[in-house]
Amino acid sequence: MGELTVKVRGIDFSYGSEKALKNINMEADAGEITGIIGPNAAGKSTLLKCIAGMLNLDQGSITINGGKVRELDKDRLSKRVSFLPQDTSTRAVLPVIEAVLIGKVHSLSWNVKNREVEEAWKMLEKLGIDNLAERHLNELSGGQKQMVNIAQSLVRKPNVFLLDEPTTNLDLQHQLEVLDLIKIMTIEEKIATIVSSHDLNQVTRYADKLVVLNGGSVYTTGEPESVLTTDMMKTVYRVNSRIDNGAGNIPRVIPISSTEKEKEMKRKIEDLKSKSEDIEG
Amino acid sequence: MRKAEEVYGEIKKHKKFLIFALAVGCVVIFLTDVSIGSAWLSIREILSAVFLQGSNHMNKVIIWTIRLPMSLMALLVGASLGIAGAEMQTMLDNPLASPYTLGVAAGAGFGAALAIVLGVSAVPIVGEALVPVNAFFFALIACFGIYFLAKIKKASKEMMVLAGIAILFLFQSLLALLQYFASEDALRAIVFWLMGSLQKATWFKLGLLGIVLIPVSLLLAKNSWKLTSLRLGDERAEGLGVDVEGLRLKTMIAVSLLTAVAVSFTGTIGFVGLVGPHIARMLVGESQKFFLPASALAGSILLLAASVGTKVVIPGIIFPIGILTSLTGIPFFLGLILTRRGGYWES
Repeated sequence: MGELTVKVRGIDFSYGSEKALKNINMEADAGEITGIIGPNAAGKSTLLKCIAGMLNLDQGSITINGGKVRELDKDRLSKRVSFLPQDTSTRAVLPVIEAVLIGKVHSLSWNVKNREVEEAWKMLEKLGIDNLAERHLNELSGGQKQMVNIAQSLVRKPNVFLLDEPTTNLDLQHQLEVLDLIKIMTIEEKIATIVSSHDLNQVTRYADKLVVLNGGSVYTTGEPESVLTTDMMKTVYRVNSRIDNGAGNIPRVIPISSTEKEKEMKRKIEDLKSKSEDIEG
Repeated sequence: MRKAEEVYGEIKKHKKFLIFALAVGCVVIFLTDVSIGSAWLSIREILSAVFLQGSNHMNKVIIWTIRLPMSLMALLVGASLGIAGAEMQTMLDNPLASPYTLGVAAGAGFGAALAIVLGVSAVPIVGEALVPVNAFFFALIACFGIYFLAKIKKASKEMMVLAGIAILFLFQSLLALLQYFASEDALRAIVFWLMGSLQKATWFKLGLLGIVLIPVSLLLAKNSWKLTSLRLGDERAEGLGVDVEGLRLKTMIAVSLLTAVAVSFTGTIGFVGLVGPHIARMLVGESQKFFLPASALAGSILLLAASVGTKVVIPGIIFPIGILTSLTGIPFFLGLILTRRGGYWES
């Protein structure tokens, strides 16, 4: 286990009168990926934004390497934390090399220093996308754009990397490539990476630890094999499922049916089947 | 293997060349504008009148008191509208935004009309300055109106556009009311003001415009990378540590002031602030380091070309410039759009 970097202690957050997070406690370690899972509106994105210092907490505290997020000024915080939101569908007419440079927006001046260009270039090389350097963002595919976003985030050398559903809208090949890359960079650069995801099997494969959110509260937290249970799936996701242990003893969720409308749906399907048989008969 | 500086150097070289080409075009069209008028002057006559002591006195008077102020006004107002349009499109993330989107020009139009119809100003001033001073005062009211409305909702771009539209319609209605009650002469004067004109350019007005244009440009240049980051989306920019709300409010005030000064002296000249930035974007992309100077130059070229047009349409008569900005710019703009592959803005 790496050194402890992010500590979330008893935080509450509300959008107006609506409580989005209630008494959240969690930790994320350097060199590890912490996965945040939970159904829609569980508070995954809100929690990430709170850690990024983008939202003001009602109560509780978040510390990064001992320093309270609330007390850090925006410049210092942004040097430590990099937040990659879910929607990054930009159509900016901007060359990739400059898009990566923007990762260092606080130190850039009108005349960009050679050292800064060199750093951006090295990051592109590390991610294997230096061939895209001169292309404009609006000409790239979703997968390529996400690679550029990751380069842009990592060129800042953050201690904490927050990613909100980073593989949404990507095809399977790019999903795996992006997550492999995040895993490698997390270990190499000793970053505390926190990833929210709807894809349970994928996040389980890459995360060292999972935090399950339900209705704005932490339902459970721990290693994937202890967290992913049929009970958790039933209570949090309202889904009947089976958990298989796949290759490398990584648990895999096989969803079977919704617990909410199982009977109603089955009845409708049976009705439709018998109707079509009558017509054919 | 290629080196970082080599790749970035090539990108910069290409864009710098395009900006240089725009600058050359701007100089050429500026000299053309100065040379055209009721008396045609050669480049040699212009240069000798400007730089030599013992040159033709009549030429000196024509150039120093009429031609140069008018052409410089076209240059500076074009640059101001180009810059203001570029930043409005950037901070509102909207290709249809222009310096007039937030109702600043509508405020100026109402202020000018009030001075023309009633002969009174909101600030105690009389004489020739009555109309521009009142126009500027009401443009500022519009500007601060949007500022306070936008601040309530944390300067979201949607709120800014909606607040701007509300202010735009408010001043347009008030202007229509004034026009309804105005005498025939006053009505003609209002319409003429709204069409825009460079004829009342003076060195004093040029100085005032320069005083606003220079610090605004420096402020935008200082924040150039942060402004570029806005094109990645608000959340992404915030995730990179940019104070999006503060940046947007600061930029909005700066470009509204610039627009207010420009339209107060020349009337509401359309098209330049909308299309200048599009031309710049197509040529050099959206990195503000290149986008900003290219938008200023494209704005200047469009307004200078229109100014040339106003003098040659009917020889001896200067046509209202607001009519010609679109007519001269559209062929060039359409040419650029039609020769490009794919879109460059849609998300």
